[in-house]
Amino acid sequence: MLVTKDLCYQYSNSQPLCFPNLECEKGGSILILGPSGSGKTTLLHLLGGLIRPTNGQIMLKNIDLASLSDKNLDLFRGQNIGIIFQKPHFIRSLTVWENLLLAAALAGNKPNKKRISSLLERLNIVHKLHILTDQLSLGEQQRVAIARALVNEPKLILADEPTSALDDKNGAEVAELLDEESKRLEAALLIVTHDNRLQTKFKKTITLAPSEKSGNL
Amino acid sequence: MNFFYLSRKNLSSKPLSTFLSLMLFALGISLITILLLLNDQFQKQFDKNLAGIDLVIGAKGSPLQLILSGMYHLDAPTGNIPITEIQPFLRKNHPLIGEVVPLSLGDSYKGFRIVGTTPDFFELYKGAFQIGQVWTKPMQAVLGFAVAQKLNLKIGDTFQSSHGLKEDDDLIHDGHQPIQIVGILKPSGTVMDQLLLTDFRTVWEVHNKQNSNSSSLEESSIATLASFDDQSITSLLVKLKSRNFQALNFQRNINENTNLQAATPAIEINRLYANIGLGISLLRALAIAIILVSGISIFVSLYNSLKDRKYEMALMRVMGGSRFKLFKLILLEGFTLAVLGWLLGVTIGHLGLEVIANSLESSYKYSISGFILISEEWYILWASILIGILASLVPAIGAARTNIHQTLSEGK
Repeated sequence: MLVTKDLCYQYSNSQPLCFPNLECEKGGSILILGPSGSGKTTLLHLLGGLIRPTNGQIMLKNIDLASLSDKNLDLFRGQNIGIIFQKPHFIRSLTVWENLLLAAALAGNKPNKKRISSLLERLNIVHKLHILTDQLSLGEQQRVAIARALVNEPKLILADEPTSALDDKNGAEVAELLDEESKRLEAALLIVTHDNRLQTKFKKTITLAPSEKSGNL
Repeated sequence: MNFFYLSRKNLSSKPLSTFLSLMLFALGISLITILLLLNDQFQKQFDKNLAGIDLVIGAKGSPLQLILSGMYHLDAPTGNIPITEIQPFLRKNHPLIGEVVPLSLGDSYKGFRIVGTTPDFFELYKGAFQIGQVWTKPMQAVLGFAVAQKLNLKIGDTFQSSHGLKEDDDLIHDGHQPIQIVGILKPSGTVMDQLLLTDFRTVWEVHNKQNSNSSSLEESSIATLASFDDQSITSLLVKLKSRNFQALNFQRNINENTNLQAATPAIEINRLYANIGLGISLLRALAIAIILVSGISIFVSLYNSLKDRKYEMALMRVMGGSRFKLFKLILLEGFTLAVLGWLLGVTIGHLGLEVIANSLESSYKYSISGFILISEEWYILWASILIGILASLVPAIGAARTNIHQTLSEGK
């Protein structure tokens, strides 16, 4: 599903960050560990097509991300990649339900309301649909963020420290949900974290080495 | 989930700054709208009331006053002219004059002006009767449409005229027989709608009772008027046979060699426009300045809200939104503000003019309406949209250039 080769990214005026080759099959998951400054977020943004690598190749669904134009890359990302951040952010003027619909609309999809509803049921947030996202608890917000990342049935799910802002109970729930949903969608799941609690759940791990000269991240 | 909805939500999530921008914009637009409507309606009324009149002859004084009082029934009359002095112009076979209509002004009824004249007046202003007919003798009157409606008068009703042009019970001419209403005119859209018309002898009779019996049998016409050597009237409306060099000489001759003056409506009205034009262009400049400031306020409010929403912009990119989509979204917010502001401004403008019109009408007896749409208002819409788009252009470019990677990393 996801294959990377010789991936490097260079911030201006610093040493290039290079990453080990990754390979993740359908329904598989990889935990990416490493100290801060090792380029975990940079790797995640590279895989999500948010920045383009200075070197190397990313293949998702046998498509080379480098071959897509900016506009097509945006659309490809919307349709095939779901990203979850450490702190969930939303469009504040919209309700939970509207935020989910927006995710579908931006990816150019007609929202399948039945499927979204069952997803929300599994995530246990059905009863909070029509309130603004500010009024949710942090744990609820993270579940809504997961729902948003999954609305378009992505083939690659990227999570950047999804549990580090949560307590043990919520963290365990989020990890469980990510695991279940990625298997259900047969998507590749990549979690970038330094949260040791996750290591018991996800067996396949890659540890990034700290770079000699840390970039600005 | 379409972008109209999203931009509407974004605007309504900041109600105060949206409200401020909207009010400023609407204020400018309503001012411009009122100016345009007033200008348009005044010009139309003035043009209609020109009625092909080439000259107004009256007593010496301000030519503008002569025109305003004689044709537009706005100002006070300039004074009287003895019929002996205007005898030559009343001759049927005058080489230059095509038509004359005499006017005797200075009286009113409940604030509406009474005009003593001959039935030629109706031809001049193309008056048609809704009911009744023209007077057959003095002390009979024909009402303009608006007068009959406002004062709720019918055929057969009578009234006492009052001296002067202001409504004042102390100045009523008592002791004369009441004036009877014999006809009501259809609406003409001219100043005639606001007048009470009567035979020229009526005005003399209410001032000077002796004449009442001797004159009443003769026809209401210029020839009859000419026979009253001892009387005077206020002014003469003149249509010339043609406007040529001779006609110009004719006017100059009156002004230089007689105690009368002759004024040309078009020239005087243009002078009036030139005078009030300064005020109008000042007001217009003010309105444009307000609109520009409101454009800047739209810009600042979008720019600020964009700073707050930087992360949201990055998020939308993550979810598949292209740069162009974000650009469109912000542009749409500016566009929505401008169109709403326009709508609000036009509404306020029209309603405001209607309010102004009511007070104008009670003091000037001119009907102005706030409920008339003119084509220039569409130009204002296009200009508004342009301002909305210009004001949101820079914020929109900013949104399109959001650096996703950097914003997301900082927002952690």
